[in-house]
Amino acid sequence: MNNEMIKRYMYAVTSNLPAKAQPEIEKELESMIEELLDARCGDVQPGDEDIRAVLTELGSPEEMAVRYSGDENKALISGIYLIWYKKILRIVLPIAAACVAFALLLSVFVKWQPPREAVPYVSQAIATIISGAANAAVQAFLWITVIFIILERKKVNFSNSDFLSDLPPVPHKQAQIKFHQPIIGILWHIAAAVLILGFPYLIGIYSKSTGWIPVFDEGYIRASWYLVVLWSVSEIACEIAKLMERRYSKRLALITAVTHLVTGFTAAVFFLDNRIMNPVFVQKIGALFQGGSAAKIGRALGHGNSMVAAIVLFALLADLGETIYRAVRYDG
Amino acid sequence: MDRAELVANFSQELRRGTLILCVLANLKEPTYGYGLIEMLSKTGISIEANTLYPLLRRLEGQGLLASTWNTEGAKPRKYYNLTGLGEEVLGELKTHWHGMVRSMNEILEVSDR
Repeated sequence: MNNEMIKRYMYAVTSNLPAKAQPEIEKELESMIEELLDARCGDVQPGDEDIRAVLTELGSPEEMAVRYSGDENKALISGIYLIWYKKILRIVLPIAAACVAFALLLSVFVKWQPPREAVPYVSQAIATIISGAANAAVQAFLWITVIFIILERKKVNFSNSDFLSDLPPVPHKQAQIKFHQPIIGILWHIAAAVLILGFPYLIGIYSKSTGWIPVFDEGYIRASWYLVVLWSVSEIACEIAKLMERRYSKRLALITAVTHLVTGFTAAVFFLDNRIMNPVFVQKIGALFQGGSAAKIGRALGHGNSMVAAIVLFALLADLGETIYRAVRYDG
Repeated sequence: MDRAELVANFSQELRRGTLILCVLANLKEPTYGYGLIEMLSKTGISIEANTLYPLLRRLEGQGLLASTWNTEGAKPRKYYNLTGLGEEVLGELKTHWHGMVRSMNEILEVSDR
């Protein structure tokens, strides 16, 4: 059966079911809809009205998924409430944890006072951030659970009588965004911000003659902290949009363009300022690489900030290009 | 809730409990979903497709039914029939049902006096 509305309906049902059961249930649904259409239309080709009537009779995709999952009235939160509960938990929990982790990172950074003992400071800061993020996730979980228990007890209606008009299109495989991808993205941006803001001295080089030399100037980073916060918030917002959209769409491409523009601009301002380079690093590197081609390497390393800016801008452009390509190709 | 609604709810509860027995009793021969809806409908038992198909799947998961896809026709159809376990369970359920009918008839006769 090659009908767009049926395809969307089947996708909307199976996307609420465990991945393992999806292919078989999709096949069953297709066969069931065909049998119902045959019974309704006989040998006549079913029209849109017939398809709408059959799908409406079957009920909303969430109701159908509940019947297939067998989760009717089994627990405090069950049936259609359980489906929405799981959907909301999957979005809110990582966002709550990420936001609190980022806020704690800033607080750790603001409270930071040199001189400090690096190892206890790092481990204590990481423990604070992780426990805070876990606490936020637990709090969000509890509140959402309580709200859904109340919604179920009050029998608040989640169904939309015109659900057929709201069925989202079935995303092409290449256009789907797996749940773990934006989560890894959020963790990556937090980790990068933690490193740059909290522990910039960990980025450095070591040689026997000079010992450990940080590449970046901590004073400059402390003075320009808001740029790092701005791009991290912007990129986390982009990942949250991916988490909610779960497909490469034109809307996501627009959000990515805006957030990457903010990131690109702030990262360029941050990294292209030569004050970011630790003068001691530049001086020692110059001394280490002397004469001929070695001096060229030394000069290039002394301007490592420009290389970092170029890599960041290239990565942003590549990601934006891929997002736009997939959106244009697969979001009809 | 008015009287008609109360009766409709109670009647639905009664019917719900008998659905599995109706389904199992009609699956001694391989039958596809809509065929079963029609068979039950002829005997005055109406069951909606969105209830029956997931129920068939659940009974299959419990080992009471087995299924095969028939791809010989223009459209593939999934046929269900009883397994050995399904036949045993059906036999026991029938015994329970007959016992329940006897008890219910006695109770209802007493209430009619």
